[in-house]
Amino acid sequence: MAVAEMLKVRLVIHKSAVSEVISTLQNSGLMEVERLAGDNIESETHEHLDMLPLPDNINILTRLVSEMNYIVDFLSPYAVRREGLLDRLSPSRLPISRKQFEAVAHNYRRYEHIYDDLFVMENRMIEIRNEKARLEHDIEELEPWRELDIPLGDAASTGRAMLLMASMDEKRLPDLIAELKKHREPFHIEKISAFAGRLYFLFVAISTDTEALTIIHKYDPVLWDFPPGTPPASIRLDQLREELNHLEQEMSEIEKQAVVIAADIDTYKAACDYLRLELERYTVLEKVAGTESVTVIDGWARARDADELNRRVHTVTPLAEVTFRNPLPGEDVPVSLVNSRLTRPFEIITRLYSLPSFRELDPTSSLAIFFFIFFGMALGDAGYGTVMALLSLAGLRFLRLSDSGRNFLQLLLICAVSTIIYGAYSKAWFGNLIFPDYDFVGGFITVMIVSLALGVVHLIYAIMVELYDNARHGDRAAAILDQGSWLLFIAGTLLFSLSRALSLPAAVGVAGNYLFAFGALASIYSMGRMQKNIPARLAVGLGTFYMSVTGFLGDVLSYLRLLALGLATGGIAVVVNQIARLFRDIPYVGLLLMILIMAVGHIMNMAINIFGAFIHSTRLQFVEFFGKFYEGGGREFRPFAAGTKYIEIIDKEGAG
Amino acid sequence: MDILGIVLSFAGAALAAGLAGIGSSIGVSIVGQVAAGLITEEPGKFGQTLILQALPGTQGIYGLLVAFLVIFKIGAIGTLKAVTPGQGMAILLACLPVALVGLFSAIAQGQAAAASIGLIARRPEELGKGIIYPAFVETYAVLALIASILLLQGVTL
Amino acid sequence: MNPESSSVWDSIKRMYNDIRYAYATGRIRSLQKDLVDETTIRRMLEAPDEEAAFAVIMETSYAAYATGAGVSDYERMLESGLIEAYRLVRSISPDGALTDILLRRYDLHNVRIIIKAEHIGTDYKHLIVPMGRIDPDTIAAAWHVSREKREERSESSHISPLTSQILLPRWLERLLYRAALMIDNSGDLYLVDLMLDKAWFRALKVWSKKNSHYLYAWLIVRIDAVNIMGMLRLRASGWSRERWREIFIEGGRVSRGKLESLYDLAPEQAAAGLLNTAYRREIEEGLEDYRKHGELSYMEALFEARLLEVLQAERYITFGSQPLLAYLLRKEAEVRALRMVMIGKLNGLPHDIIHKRLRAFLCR
Repeated sequence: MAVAEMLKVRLVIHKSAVSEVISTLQNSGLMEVERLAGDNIESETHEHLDMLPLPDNINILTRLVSEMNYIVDFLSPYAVRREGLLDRLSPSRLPISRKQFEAVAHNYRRYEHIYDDLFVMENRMIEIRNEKARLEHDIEELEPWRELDIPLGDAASTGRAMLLMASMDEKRLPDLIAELKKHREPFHIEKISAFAGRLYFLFVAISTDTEALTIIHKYDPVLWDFPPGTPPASIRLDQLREELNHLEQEMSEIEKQAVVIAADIDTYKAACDYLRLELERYTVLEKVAGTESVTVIDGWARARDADELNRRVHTVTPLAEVTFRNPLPGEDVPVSLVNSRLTRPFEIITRLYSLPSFRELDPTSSLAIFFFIFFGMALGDAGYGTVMALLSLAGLRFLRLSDSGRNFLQLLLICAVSTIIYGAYSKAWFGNLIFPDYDFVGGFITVMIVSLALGVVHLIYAIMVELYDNARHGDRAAAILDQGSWLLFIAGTLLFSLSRALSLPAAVGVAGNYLFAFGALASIYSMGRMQKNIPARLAVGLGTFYMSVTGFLGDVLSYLRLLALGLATGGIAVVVNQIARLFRDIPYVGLLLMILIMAVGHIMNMAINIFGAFIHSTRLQFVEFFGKFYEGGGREFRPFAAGTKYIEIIDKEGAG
Repeated sequence: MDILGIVLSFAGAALAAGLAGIGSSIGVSIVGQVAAGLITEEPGKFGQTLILQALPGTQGIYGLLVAFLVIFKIGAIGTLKAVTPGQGMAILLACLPVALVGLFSAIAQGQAAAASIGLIARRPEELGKGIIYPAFVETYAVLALIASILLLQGVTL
Repeated sequence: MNPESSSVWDSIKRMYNDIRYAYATGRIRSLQKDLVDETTIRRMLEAPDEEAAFAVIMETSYAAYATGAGVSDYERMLESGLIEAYRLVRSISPDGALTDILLRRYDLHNVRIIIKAEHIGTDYKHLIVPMGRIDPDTIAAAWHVSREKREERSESSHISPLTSQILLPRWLERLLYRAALMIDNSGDLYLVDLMLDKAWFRALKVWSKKNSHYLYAWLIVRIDAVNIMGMLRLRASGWSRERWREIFIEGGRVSRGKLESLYDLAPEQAAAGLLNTAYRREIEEGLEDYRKHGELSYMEALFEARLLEVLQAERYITFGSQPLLAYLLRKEAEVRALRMVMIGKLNGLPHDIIHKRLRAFLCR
């Protein structure tokens, strides 16, 4: 349960040392730089500081970074892939020494022109692609007219005769001819070809015969019209094909060029990262202020990193002063979570909702234990748990992962352990594969009671956290009246009903009765205490009390999803086995089929239910648990650091 | 042996698996279509939309589960037990909660999940919340499943 | 989709009709992000000159249509962006009529250009907007037929008059026929203009009433805006009441009688008489500005803002035709706004005048 202690940092640096200090901050990644606002500059230093004028470099660098990004993006598809499957799954960053890294950047002048070259190339490629599409479309349109050997441009109406080039549904042609014949004017239909169910033909009639036009129009024709001077289709088609060939050749030439340039892609990637780091250093300057001789950088650091930060800065320059102070009330403090190795993976769940604000409790460790239990119950099959555990172990061992990816796999591993424990206890190994006497509905009532009981415990725990939170912030009245009385009421109800169910000594039941009554009255009082007069207090108190009780019941019932999910996993797993076994007795292939069906069935069942268990365990945290006390809305602590995208500097400490 | 009891039980199992399955397939399809639209523009969001699309699929599984419970109960795999018409009717009725609630809640959940896709189109960082809204809908399918199972347990053959 | 029906069966049918739009909605939801936002417009406004404003455009989705010609390119880029938006929506919409009905406005614009050009005897090609669904050559050829000049083949068109008859949709054939009659009877081109304007509104009304309650709601506001602004403007430029009556478009919430009764009053009183309509806010604020500056452009901008507001209802739709319509109508408004800023910057208009005309996009 911890939100890291934060300290406000102020660096006062002599002008000559600014760039060294900024480099150090970037390499160490310990401090978040905050923009210096007008008021807090003056109040503390008694000296007016101006925002420093921004060097023009920032614009140049912004442009260069976007150019380099463009180069890398453009070349990536043409770069020779030497990666295996593993690299595709988790793309590696290129390892590089700091010396190489800087050398790459110093040679920048040598490939300055690449951007312009590529830009020209890409434009040409787009042109070619458009042109090709146009040609292909033209070819497709002309193809049906290939057999027509008159120049297409000449196929137009003359003074007396109307001539149409048209296409229509082949099947309707007899109807059209019949109808035209009925109309008794001379006409002629010259079939040219049939393509994909459509007939392409010439239609000739007398030009004044509008009736014929109307008839044709009824048959949904597409009419064709070529500009004067178009040669016969076959000739035109050859021309078009020729052009298309040329374009394709040109395209492959350009692509070959691109492949040649892409051979150096690693260099460009390094240069891209170098420029980006450079740019980030300059953007820090946007946030600082200073006088003629002194520059001030403000920001935040974790309390435990304070000494390290101090030491780092002083090793590069004696001309800097680092001061720390505690955050003031009302300050927007960034949040960094501190959790033990075991609970850290559960931060994912907290983050999925929202980070706690700086003055709030970190709910991670509280939710961890419940999430652990819930997930195990909801999945509940030791076989699936084992597969999950093996997969996540393999992932942790073999994949190159980001921090969040690593955390996620660790979370899956922990959840897998829980699943194995629960599954082993209920004898569920891939349904009833190993223990044929596994009965997934057998423990129905027990599991139901356990689910509800877990719900009650979880909810009571939430109320206690709320109580603690209120007390911590000094709101004792709220702690005792709101949560205290409510807890008494719940405790009383539990005692009372348990004493009935388990036939405990009568005294327990009586004690429960008193607690119940007292808790109820106290709750009604506390819930109505904000109202002015007594009737209003009573009404509001009773109303809120009623809502709380029904709300509580609803919340508890919601934990039945643990039972339902567990049942679904077990049930489907048993069914998969049952169906697979039906195939066992088929001669020769029976065993193979059985294994195949089992494998497919269990993999699907496992995937769906891991997903469901995750979603619903999360939901129980967010809605039933967080709903009681948690607000969130914190801002993540993002230290200024050397975040590279493509390369990884191996000797990080080598710089000065 | 009374055939009517068996027929009624079969009807119950068929309704549970059938209706809940129809609901899930409609729900999943709705989400899938909206997701496909989003992916055309932003292929990078595939993983996120996949999660949302899977949500309305559970009702079908619940329905299938109840169908299998009925099948086991009356011994449809192996030797059929004797089921009186009264018992058959009871089994049919026991199947109705998961069948009907499954049908409608899956469609409703599909719509909620589709709306969440609209949410992550604009704010991909809010995926967590986008999953929670449709997950609320599922509560009622879970409750119906519990009701169906409890009712089935109540029928003794 | 029929707004009046309410039985269960109808609502199921409506839902299934809407589900057809699921894919398109998903895609639009993503595209919506590329619409120009308030900050962008603001940055353009604050740009010192047209070059800087253009640089801001180059950061938006319109940059894809740049050819490198610089500022002079902006008009073509905006148009290309709009064309592309229509093309895209048409390709993903399960109902093509949805875009065609909106595009009909551009068809009618082309019709108007062609009729006018033929009447005066000039070339029209450069005035054609390449956004309609109907090939302008077809329109031109068909217009020749309507004017019974079948034999003389329009020199600029390679479509024969007879072919044009087949390619021409029925609705346009009727319009051309009526236009030809009007010109024969009175020779007044203005009447033709009016008829074409009204034809779009009528077509949109008929279609949206049947197919989209959402578009219908937008259309009513639009008609009212056109009627009210038309009344105030034309009265100011000295039109007679009879002449004005011709241009009134039926179908809005503010009736013809109401506007007619106000027609002879001074603009301020006339506007005051409209305060008890649904447009109180627009009229009130617009009137205030009118008193100060003596011009109505702010009120017009307020109506534009109101139109965009009507579109907001789309946010609560999981899927349906609404997001598609909203996307297109917003895109049109956006193009209008960007064009306004660029024209303002090119002509050196003061910052606050452009700002005022962009009310629809700013300080909401």
